[in-house]
Amino acid sequence: MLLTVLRAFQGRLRWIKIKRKYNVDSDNVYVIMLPDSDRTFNEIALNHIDDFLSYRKANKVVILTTDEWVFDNAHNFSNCIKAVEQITLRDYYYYRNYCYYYYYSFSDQFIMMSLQDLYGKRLALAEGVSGIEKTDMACMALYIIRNWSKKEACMHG
Amino acid sequence: MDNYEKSRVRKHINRLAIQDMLKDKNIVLFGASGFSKDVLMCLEERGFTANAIIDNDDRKVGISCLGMIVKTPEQALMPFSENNLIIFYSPGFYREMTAQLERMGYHIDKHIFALNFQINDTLYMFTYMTKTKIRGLYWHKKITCKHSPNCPVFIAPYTGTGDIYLIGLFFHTYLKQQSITDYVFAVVSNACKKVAEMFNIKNIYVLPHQVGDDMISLQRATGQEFRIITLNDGWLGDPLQWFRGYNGLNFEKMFRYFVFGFDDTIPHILPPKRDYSHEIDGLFQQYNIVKGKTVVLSPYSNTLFDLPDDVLASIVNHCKQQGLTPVTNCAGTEKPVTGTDAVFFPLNQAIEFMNAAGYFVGVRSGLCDIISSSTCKKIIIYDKNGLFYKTSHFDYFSLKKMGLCVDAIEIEYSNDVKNECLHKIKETLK
Repeated sequence: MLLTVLRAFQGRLRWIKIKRKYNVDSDNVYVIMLPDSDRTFNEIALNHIDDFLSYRKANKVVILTTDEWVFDNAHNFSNCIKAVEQITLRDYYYYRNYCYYYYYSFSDQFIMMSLQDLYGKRLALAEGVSGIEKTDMACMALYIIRNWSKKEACMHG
Repeated sequence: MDNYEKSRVRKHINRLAIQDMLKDKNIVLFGASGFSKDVLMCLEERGFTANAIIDNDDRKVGISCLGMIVKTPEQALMPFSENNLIIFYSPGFYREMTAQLERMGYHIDKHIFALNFQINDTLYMFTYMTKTKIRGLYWHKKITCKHSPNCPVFIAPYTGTGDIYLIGLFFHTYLKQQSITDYVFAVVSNACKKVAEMFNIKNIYVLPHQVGDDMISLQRATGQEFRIITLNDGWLGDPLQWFRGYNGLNFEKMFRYFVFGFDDTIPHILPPKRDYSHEIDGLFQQYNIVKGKTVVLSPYSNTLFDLPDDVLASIVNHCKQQGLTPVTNCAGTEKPVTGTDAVFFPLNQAIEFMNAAGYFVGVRSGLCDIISSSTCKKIIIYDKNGLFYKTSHFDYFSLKKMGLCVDAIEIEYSNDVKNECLHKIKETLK
């Protein structure tokens, strides 16, 4: 329990640092965590950054990732990526602990895009159920784009 | 909203009233939901009312809600007016809603009042959440101390009795499948406990307000150090909630697939039949009602939907003309429908009571799940305009679609089809 508190607190410190570094509040920036090694899912998440920003009426995103491919390629997916930071696994665990420390997320502006950890694992069970695909999981359940429609997304490319 | 939260909302509104912040204001409720119903009730207690109700969901815009037509935020709040005062209760989405209103020029604590508990990244909140972890840890130890080490704790965190009924249908199969012999089952109200007891669920604890959330949060934060299983289809920010109603995923399927991990082959196990004949006889004698000729009205629910008084009056008159006795199922401070007497029966006797009564006419609520296997004639009424996540109330909660009941008459009601609905109800009550 004490370790959990300490890790969550470390996560908070890192969050406050990132918030200040990228002016998250004042510049309407979202921080997206991409910790998974699943390239398909990461591509989907990156592909829909613009849909996410459009829905949330936000300006830019900062990406935090442990994955090298994401770090190298994220900028190819959107012009609205302010920065991509590669973080260590330890740092990810600190963020993760902070993320799950409260009843709800500590901030609307922090999005955990994962199908491999905690809530993500449970969400991953939905794949294939009633036609649910990874795109749906990313856009409807994690980005929470409430008017998300696969057909419309395809039309807009 | 549970009683603790209602009390919190009431205190907040009282404070606003005392500070004269509500006087002469154009009060706008944000969110066409059950929460707004509770907020409006608290406002009316202080002699105020809302002038408009807004929602971002364009499926809700234009429909009637709490006596007002739902508008978009832009329709009701632009151009900016100093006189507008926007009130809402939304634990999960208040930040998004606040940000939207701030972009329209409104300010927190001047025009914008979110009445829910507000989580943020301050040090104060971190300290508060640490206290809740300690509280969760204390309660976990308290309820598991007499059980085997690492015994699973099942938590049903929502006050809905319908949830407990649905859980009960799968619970013992789950225990068998997981080879669980010792467990603790935690609920958040005595009514939920009664429903759990119907299924012979053992070791039931009724947790104080918010302790269930503390324990769930503890389990999440510690990375499953504690064997705590949440019995809900999308609690406290669980992203699965966004698939409610998607492509036919109704209430039953969400629990079946995602709470218990079952496929469609697993059958429901109904609560065992018990002999309450002595108790039922006593109740019928107490209320002076006749078996087979009693219509139990259940007009109350936790949702927005209320049947209009004239519709209820028409049903009551029809029953009397048919030689049936209408009564109203009332709990707590609920009042009976005009022209009927109040009755109360314990939830664990509900099936047997309804078998004896003969007829049930009710707005969709948890009680409908509980009596779904009763032999009585059941008329379940849904709000035709009611929405739930990705679908309608009816499609998500229909007893027939959930496989709980094949013989219920399920009616989607709205004022423009009032006569057809009444006709259908009266045809059944003969």
